[in-house]
Amino acid sequence: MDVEKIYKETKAELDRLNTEQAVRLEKIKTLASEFGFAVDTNLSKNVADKKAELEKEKARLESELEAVVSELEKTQA
Amino acid sequence: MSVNIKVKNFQSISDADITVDGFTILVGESSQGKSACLRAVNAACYNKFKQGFLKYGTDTLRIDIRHSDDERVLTVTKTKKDSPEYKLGDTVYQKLNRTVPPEVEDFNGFGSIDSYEQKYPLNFFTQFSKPLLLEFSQKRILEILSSSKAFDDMNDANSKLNKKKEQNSGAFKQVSAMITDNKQQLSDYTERESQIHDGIGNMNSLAESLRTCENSLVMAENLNAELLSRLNAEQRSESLKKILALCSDITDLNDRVERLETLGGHVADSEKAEKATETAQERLSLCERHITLSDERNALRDDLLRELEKHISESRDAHARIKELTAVLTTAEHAVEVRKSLGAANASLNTLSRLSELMDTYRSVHKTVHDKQAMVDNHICPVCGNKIM
Repeated sequence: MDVEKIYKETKAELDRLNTEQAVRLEKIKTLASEFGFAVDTNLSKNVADKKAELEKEKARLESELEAVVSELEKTQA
Repeated sequence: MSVNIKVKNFQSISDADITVDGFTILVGESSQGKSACLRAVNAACYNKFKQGFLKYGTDTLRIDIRHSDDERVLTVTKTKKDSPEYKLGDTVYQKLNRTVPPEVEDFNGFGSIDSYEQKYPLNFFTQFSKPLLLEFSQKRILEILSSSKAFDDMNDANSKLNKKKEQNSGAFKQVSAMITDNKQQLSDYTERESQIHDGIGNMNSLAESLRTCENSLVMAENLNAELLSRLNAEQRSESLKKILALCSDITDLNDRVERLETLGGHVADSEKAEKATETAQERLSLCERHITLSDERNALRDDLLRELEKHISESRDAHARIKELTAVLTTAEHAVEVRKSLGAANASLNTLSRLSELMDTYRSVHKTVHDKQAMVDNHICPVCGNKIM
């Protein structure tokens, strides 16, 4: 077993992961600030809660849109 | 009994329709045809047509007489050139030569006296004409009355006249009563006419109001239709605005959801990356630990080899010493008896025993190194015994 090789490969992978993580962290900060979230351990839960809230709002708006379209069709008829 | 008289194209009359019912007075302004009507009746009854009776510019004059108690109609027509033509019912009389058919005289009920080819009316007098015989001289009266036929005619005429007088006597009373009634009716009619005029005025006012109401109703209906149309248009416009706003909201919401999903994806990737980083760091730490252990192992192996080499060197020295001692012993064997040889042998045994201990130590160290190498080869940490990733 070539431990040196394993060490070098692991080191390179770690550097890559850190680089990607830094870029990703910037994106997360930008998007999180847009939604008013703090970048902490509750971020995943906050995202999930917010998504559920938006899905609920979307369903309400679609229902309202359907009602308005129905009303318009009645008016045109 | 009433008599209806129709006159056409007679002097100034174009078309007149007169109904005589009892005592009748013709009233009108001058030159309206009152006298012409009397002349027309006189001409028709006694066939006394003159030039100038035909209305100027026309071809034929016509006089119709109808009695209410007789179905027949007397029609007298006269052209400019031809003599008058009489038609009573279906019977036509032509070329009469200024005479009147007896049926016509009987139909009219006017008596006359024929004398010397002259016909004198007994009970019909035209305007400005004097009653029978009054305009004549006594001689003429005698001539007329002495004509052979005159008295008979006169008697007939008198009898007809008396009959007519009797009829007229009753008729006069009826006419007087009718005049009274007519006056009352005229008063009533005047009052009713005033009421009718008022009613007509009211009706015209109501009709005008009705037209105004109808126009207002039409305008209101048009306005209502236009209002409904505008209301529908506004409702549609409002609905479309709502739809556009809702679509925009939904689009924004979808965008936010999409960005949120992107954020969620980044967060999930970040968590995975953190785990991978932790794993890599652990692996790196293990590798570093492995390298450290390998270095320690190599150092220990070097120490052991040096120690072994030292022991081997010492063993060789001891062996050489043994050989020397053996040679000395061999030499001293002769000189020293069994006791000396034994003492020497004991010393040698001690040395061998120490050598044997050194050999055991060497084997033990060698085995340890061999085992550590085998663990490393099998990816097992030689220190903690855990599997190396």
